[in-house]
Amino acid sequence: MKLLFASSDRDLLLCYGKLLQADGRTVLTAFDGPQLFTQLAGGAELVITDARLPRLELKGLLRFLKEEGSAVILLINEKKTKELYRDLLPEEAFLPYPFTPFELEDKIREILKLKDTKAVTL
Amino acid sequence: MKQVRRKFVLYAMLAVFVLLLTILTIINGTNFTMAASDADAVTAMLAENKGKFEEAPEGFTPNTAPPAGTDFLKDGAFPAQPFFRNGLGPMGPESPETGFSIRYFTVCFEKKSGETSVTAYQIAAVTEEEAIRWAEALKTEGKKDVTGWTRGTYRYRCYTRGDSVYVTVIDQGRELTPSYRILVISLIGMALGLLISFLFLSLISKRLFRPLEEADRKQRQFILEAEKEFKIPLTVIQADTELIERENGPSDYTTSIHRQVNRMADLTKDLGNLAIFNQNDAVTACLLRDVFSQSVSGAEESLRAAGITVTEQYQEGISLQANPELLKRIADELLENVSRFALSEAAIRTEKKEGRIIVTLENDCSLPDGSYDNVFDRFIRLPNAEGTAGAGLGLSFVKDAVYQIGGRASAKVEGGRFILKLYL
Repeated sequence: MKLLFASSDRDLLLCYGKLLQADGRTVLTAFDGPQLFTQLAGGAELVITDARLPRLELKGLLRFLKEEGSAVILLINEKKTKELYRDLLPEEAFLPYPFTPFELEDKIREILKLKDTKAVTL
Repeated sequence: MKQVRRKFVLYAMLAVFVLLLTILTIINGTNFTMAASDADAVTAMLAENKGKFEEAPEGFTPNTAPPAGTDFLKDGAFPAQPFFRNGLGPMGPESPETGFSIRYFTVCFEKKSGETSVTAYQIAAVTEEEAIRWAEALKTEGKKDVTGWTRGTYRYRCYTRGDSVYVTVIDQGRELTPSYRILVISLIGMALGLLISFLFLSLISKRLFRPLEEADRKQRQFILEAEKEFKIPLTVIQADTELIERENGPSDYTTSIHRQVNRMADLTKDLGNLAIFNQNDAVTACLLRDVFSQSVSGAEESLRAAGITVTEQYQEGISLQANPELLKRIADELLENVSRFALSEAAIRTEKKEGRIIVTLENDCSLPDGSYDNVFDRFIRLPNAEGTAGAGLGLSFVKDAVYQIGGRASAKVEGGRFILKLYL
């Protein structure tokens, strides 16, 4: 599975870039909007991104990913952000900081299951 | 801060009101008391002569001019006349003019013969028959004279001399008019004074509190920013610790890091709570049943993991005017407390008693019986909290938030049950 992790915090990129490599996943990383889109050119089943990624028009990205059929997990720092993107993402797609690696893994499983269920329904 | 400013204006207005009321009461009270005293002096004078003014002695000329060369400052305004008690001229109730200016009547009730007669009648507003009926109503028998006000502006004295009871009534309407005028003017002045004070205080309080409001806003902003900025570093530390454990295996040090990070995460969340409850967000009617049942649903997983069952009992239709976000956080905090410290079961109940909304949260616990109101103090953790996560800020937030919406909180342990009540 190809997974893209995007955050402007290089330490976060470093540790999660490694942590998420379990179970044969390919993990791509990006630290800003342009790099994210560059990495996305190769396609990704799941995009995990910070809501405040620099130089990124988030709504545009979310609409693009929705069309591409990629799942998204949005890392948020405040509840207000959820209200802004509720119409573009399901409730399960939001993961507030701080989170543990286990919480992120649980979220990944949950969102991929949801994606599969929707695919089956469609 | 707006609430603090409103309270400041309210208490300052209260102080001004009390001050003005005190001054008004003293002035008008003294004024009316002196009027009553002057009237009593006149009725006392009449009582000495069985309800009539003394006849002037023979040869007395009321308009005697002082002799030429009288030193007014040395000898008084008028030469001493035996008829004038205090040697003063036309001043006060003992003035020689009093007999000509006072409107009055006196009714005599003879005890032995039972006869009633009007012994003095110098009044146009009342007929003699009416005077007798009036005096009948005022008559009392006793050793001491009885005085008082009757029919608003009339002063009376009821007294016994020999075998007869006398009732003397004098008209003080003219004498009281200035007093009433002073009363009305002082009340109007008080109202104006209060209005001016209110406008002045409202204006000045805005300027006075502006720096405080700014400081408060900056403090909240700082807390919110700090809360946000702590979160990513905490996430990184947790992830790095996990990586270390994967590569080298868990150790006491990595366990300690996890523990401290969890503690920091709780503190960060509590910081966010502290910042939010001061905000003047929109207040709406919130159904408590919905608020608490949603929080119970939200905490279902952690409650199930801890093996705790929660029974809910909500009285229908109880709603509260409050910020919905604030109420939700109160409910979430209480449920988190239950999930951490209840042994096996908890109950949540909302009811309305004597106009007050009471939310009761109780759970089994291992604490001894007693009052535990100190659990609402910051950083206080009870003995049963040892080994569990938390910084001791959660219930402190609950208490402050409940206070913010005009309520109070209490906690006690009775028969092995921790009972927390919110009075809203």
